[in-house]
Amino acid sequence: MFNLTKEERRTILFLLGAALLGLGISQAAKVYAPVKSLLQPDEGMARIDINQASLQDFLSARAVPKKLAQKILEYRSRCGRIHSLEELKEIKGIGEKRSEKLKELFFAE
Amino acid sequence: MSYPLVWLVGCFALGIGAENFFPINFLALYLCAGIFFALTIIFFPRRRDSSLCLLCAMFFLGAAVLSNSRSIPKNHLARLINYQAGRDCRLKGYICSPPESKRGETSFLFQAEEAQFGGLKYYCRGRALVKLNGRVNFAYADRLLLKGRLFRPYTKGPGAKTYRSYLSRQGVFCLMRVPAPGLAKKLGTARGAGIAIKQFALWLKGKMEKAIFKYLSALPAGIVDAMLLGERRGIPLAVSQAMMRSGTMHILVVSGFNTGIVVFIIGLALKLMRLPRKARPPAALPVLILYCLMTGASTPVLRATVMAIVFMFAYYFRREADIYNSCAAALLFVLAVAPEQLFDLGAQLSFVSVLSIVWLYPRIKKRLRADAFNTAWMRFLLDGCLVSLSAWLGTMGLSACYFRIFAPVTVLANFFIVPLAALITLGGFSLIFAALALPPAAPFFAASLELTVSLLLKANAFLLKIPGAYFYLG
Repeated sequence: MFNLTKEERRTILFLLGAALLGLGISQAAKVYAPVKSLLQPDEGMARIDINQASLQDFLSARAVPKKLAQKILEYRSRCGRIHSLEELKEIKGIGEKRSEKLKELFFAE
Repeated sequence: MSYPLVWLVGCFALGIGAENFFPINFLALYLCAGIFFALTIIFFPRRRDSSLCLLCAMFFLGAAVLSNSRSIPKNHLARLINYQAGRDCRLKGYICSPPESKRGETSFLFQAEEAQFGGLKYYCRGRALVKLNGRVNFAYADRLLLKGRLFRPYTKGPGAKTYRSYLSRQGVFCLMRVPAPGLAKKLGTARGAGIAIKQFALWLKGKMEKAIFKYLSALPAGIVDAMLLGERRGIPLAVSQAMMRSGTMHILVVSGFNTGIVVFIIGLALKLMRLPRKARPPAALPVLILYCLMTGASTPVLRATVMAIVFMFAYYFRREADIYNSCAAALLFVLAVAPEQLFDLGAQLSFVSVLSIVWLYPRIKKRLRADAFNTAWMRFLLDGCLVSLSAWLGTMGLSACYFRIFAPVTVLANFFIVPLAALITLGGFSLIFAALALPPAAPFFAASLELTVSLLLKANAFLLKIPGAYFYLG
């Protein structure tokens, strides 16, 4: 009717496909709870385990200066393991603001 | 010369680079550019000599443009304050960037018009980066009277030096700290044709953002907002760091791909409206410029917009568009407006990746005899890998230098993530279109979009867990 090109027909197919997929997902999410968890990504999966983080991980994340990163590593080797990021407030130089930034980038298990 | 514009712009960029490392007085550079320009005219009948003089003229012109951009006018705001020590000041002017609120602080660029120190008033110009404690309801183009401390960025330590040069690249030489929201008083709204167009672009952007955040949950909305409209405030730091480690950070910014999609959408819409073929490029132009303004007119978007305009006009005038010359035209446009962009990482990555794809991809493809594959899907997979490999090879040096990271996983990551990012971009535009034109269909587009964003983040997290995915350098 509109004399559409191959690309334009593909676009219409994409739109229709996306809408159909979405319809199926929204129905599946209502019926099966696990689908919902698949849909909602957790930003936590992008964070680094602080018990495995290297000095370079701290420096590339630009969360703390080099000296403070070294202090965190010393603390970790002294304690064996960091169980919670709240523990880091014991280190001199890590206050509320830095702790919040570290929580955005690292996690402790 | 096969690519005349490439040579001319190359010399122009070389001049900017040379002036950066060996600064020379503006007048000397201007005279040299003038002399070589005159010689170009004198030697006009002798093609070789004339071309050589023209290249030299472009070299000195580039150097002169950088020198000019770095000289601060006499009535500039930065000249009113001492080098580092700040001064209490009352500043009158208007907001020239959309205000951003983060961690209880609002920041925006402020175009100064009048500064008052104690009892002395000065008419001035120049921009200051204002940081205001607390959240305020100001918008772009609001005229304000601010009371606070005006100071120049500190230069102690390498980090601060980098921040200072980063600010100066944006034409900002001063910072202003306003301690409380009560010290900022709204006087009205600034007027002007340019301001009105940008206001309209920001209003449209606000509508689109509203649609994105209405139908998507926070994290996917933040990612879609960044990919479609260039607004990265919704992306958690951990996510952007993870993307940086896998070498896929480029998908979180508005790039040429988005501009291409916008061109395509406009073309399709105009076609459906039965507009004649010849009338489509001029009709698409304002929309393209509006999209460029909406996304903050960053260098990658500017590059893509200029290249798209060159291609559209080539189509309009029935001329063959050349990718190298159009890329050079885009670089010339960017550098003529802001020569400091030559040293900006985003600009460097944008141009280098495009050129490496255009130059390397056909050569690698030929060497590997990729056309020998009979099946279409095999060719498609191989093409995806080769484009990703070409971009990675081209930008590897820059990434290693700036991010101190070498990520072999980049090729594999891009192979999976770029198609997903393309789907997200297309899905995002579909969502906005549905939210504005057909709201009942928007949740369906949103659901498929959330699934794609989730897959993208999971794929990235999985790829980073592969041993040897990335290494830190030094």
